[in-house]
Amino acid sequence: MTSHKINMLLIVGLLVVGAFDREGLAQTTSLPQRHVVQIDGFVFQPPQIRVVPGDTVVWVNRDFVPHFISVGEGKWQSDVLEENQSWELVVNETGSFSYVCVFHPKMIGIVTIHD
Amino acid sequence: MNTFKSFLYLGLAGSIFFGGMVATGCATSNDHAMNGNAMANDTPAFNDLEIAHIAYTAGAIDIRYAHLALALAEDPEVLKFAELMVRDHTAVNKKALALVKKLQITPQDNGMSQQLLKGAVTIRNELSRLHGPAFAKRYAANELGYHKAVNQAVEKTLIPTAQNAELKALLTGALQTFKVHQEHAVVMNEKLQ
Ligand SMILES: [Cu+2]
Repeated sequence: MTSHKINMLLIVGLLVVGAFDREGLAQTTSLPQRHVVQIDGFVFQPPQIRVVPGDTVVWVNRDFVPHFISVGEGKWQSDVLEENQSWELVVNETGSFSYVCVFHPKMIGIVTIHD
Repeated sequence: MNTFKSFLYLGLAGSIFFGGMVATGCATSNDHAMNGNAMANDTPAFNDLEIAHIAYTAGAIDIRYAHLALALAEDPEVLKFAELMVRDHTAVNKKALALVKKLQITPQDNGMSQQLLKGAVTIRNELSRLHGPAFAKRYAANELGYHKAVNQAVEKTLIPTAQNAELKALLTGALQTFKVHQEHAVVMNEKLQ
């Protein structure tokens, strides 16, 4: 194979990948995302998140006291989260759900799952 | 902050411990004012070893109150609060012990720790004679007063006095936790009215 042909193949290849990047992958098969909510100083950060079905929400406890998350009034519940432990929730339906720390009910957040 | 001022805070804590018993509260304040005068010679109020001891003692005392509540209370709000106290103060004290181990230090007993313990004996004696709603009300009122007093001491005396950065950070995290408890105690007291 001549170097000219190799160059042509590389260019065609890059164009194909570029097209997929812009139109193919991004629009038709968006990959599930991971959204991290930090629990720090008795606050959920960010306090509100928007996700799509199939995404994963990860809560990470950065406080040294345990927290315990209940989403949608008990629809989904974590285990007791000790310091630096995390809880992952894969959401597969749409809706807006508020959540609290069962131990410290002043800690509140909202997760909105939309199409 | 000098020793005298610290003991004034302690006097405040003492008077809250003793609730409406003004006479006892005054006697306590006077005792400590005298001690304070005797010791107010520009020596730092507390060294880090004493501060660690005070912080740990304050948590341990509240855990003991909570165990009393778990044994004697019936009100679900009070039981939930007591469980929270055991869980959170145990976590904070575990953290404190880990720091003590890391720094290879031995916390030092001191006047404030002694005063806290003395006040706690009085309160436990009082609480252990109560049952049901009477217990719930007294426990709730004491939790609010106790957290207010301890938070004041931690915020105004212990944190500014602490030298070691890790100890300061631990106290700051502890204060944040205790302030949440104080808010919680306000709600619990309102519900019991
Ligand atoms: Cu919590």
